[in-house]
Amino acid sequence: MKLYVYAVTDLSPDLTDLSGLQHEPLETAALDRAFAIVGRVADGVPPTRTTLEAQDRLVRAMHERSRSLLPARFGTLVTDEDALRRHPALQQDVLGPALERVRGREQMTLRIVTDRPAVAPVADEPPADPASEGAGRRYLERRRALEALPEEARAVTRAVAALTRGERSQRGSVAGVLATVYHLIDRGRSADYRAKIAEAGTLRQGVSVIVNGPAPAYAFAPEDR
Amino acid sequence: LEAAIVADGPAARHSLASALLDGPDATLVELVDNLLDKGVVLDAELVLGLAGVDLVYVRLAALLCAADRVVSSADPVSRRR
Repeated sequence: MKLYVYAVTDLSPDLTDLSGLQHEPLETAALDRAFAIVGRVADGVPPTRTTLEAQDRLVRAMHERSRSLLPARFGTLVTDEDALRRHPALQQDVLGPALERVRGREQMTLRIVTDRPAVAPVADEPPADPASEGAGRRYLERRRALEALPEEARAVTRAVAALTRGERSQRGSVAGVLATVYHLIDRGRSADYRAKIAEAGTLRQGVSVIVNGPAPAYAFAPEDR
Repeated sequence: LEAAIVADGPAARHSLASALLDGPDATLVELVDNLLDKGVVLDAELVLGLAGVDLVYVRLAALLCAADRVVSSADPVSRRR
């Protein structure tokens, strides 16, 4: 049997009334000052709409029972607990700041779309690490990230700055998507967030902003190693 | 999941992006983006082979700059990261 990994949390939540994608019991595997929520399965399941929806529902339920939760990517299987505990991405120096960053928060997603020609893609802007960097550096990194976005995205981002506790963004590479911006906000503030976006007013002709959320902090996992 | 157009123009409503992101596939877009392109990545098996994946995922993944997550996993069973 392998371990199918659903999420990582800072405290072990009550999972007794939840079961996994294959109806397996859920359990927590202790890491260094964190826990992985796993199910024991023979193999994974294919990514169909049904299985994606099922995992999303599960992760949302886990999110509601946790003060700090990082979802795992769909389809993540590891051989056993030892492999889980040894993994570089699950060490305290990586997980600790990431769990702290999402504690008491949830994700909102903004997609800025247009009918204008495509723009060149750029890589994701890495999230600032508040535990290890100074305020000046964080400011400069945030400013650089914002400047990398099109003006439409920056205008929308400014509108919700007071509610934003973390941000990641990526520019689009296909005609139609100018940028996608992911924001961390305090839990329960999504209505205020949407109101701020609406107050930002009309954008240029042919440019739209689509708001999604709240959701668990999918986009705020530690960077790939 | 709730999607809302805040401001738009006639052309945008007819773009591929708007059609996907604000149409019936809107929820699926979010699912693909969040579950297949985001989240904690472990050096583990990822069951993301193209076998069994509807082409809509490829289309959506491309739209979300996540094409490599799905399209490059040519191995129909699994891949390792």
